[in-house]
Amino acid sequence: MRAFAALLRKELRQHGPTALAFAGVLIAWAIVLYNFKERWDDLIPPLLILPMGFTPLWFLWRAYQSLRAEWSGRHAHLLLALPVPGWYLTLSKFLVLLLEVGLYAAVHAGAIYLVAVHDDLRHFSSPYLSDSVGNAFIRATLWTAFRTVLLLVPHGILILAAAYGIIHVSWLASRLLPLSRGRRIVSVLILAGLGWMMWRGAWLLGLALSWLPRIPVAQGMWIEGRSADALWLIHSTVTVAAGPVVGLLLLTAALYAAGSWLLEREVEL
Amino acid sequence: MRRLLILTVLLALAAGCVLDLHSNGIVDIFGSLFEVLDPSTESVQQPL
Repeated sequence: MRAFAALLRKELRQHGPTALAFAGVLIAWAIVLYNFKERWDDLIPPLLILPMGFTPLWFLWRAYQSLRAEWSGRHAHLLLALPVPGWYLTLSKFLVLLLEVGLYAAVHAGAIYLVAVHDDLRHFSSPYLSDSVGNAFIRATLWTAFRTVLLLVPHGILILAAAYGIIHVSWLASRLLPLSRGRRIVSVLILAGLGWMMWRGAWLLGLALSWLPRIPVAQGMWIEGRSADALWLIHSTVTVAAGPVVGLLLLTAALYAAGSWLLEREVEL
Repeated sequence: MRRLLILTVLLALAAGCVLDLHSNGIVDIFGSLFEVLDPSTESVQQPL
């Protein structure tokens, strides 16, 4: 376990400063938007969402780079010589990348709250609700939104873990080619094949595991009604079948085992 | 020999992907998983 912690620290030292610098840029961007929100009224939603769109692309690029950098920086012989299982390397890289993406997601969430929600909540008023009921409703709505985030986070981590595993294994498998020529195209082909296998595999396992109970993924709360006398509080929950989710989890675990095996036994410098 | 076998299996997956895309189309492939996921919404109404 100490070896795993040492690998984690190495990854954090390597990528921490860049991640903090990017988070700083995102925070500065949120502050700019907050100060110009009156003037840029219509432009605020796209300008707020724009950096969020880049985060998944950044994750995929960093997943690809995390292994490539070891080989191009000629540190790979050190990594391969370490007396640790291959999954230590894979998991430490993935966890640090997850931490980085989590940091960006937290900054994005804070920015959305600051720019789009904070002031509206302070000046909230409704002709139908008294101030105390209105405030209680807002608190309940925010709590529901928070619970939705909590429900979605494990699914998001699973999807990122699957994407990381696919990129990791396709890159490692392309190193099995004896010549460096053609490795990139082989890597892309394997990437497509593994992506397809995971998608179709989750579908097949979803059919096989259809007996599993449904799981909640999001919750919502709002008020409906036409007059102050006839108001309804609607509490709604979105659920999905657990089968495909469990299927994807099993396939991802298998992919990490395969990546670990390739790293320990087959891949060379 | 073992490496060749691994590469062949992985490239066979890529070939499977192309064949599946050709015969079923990308919409069907994407849609099938969402069909199994079967997202649904349950709502509870409460008078205020």
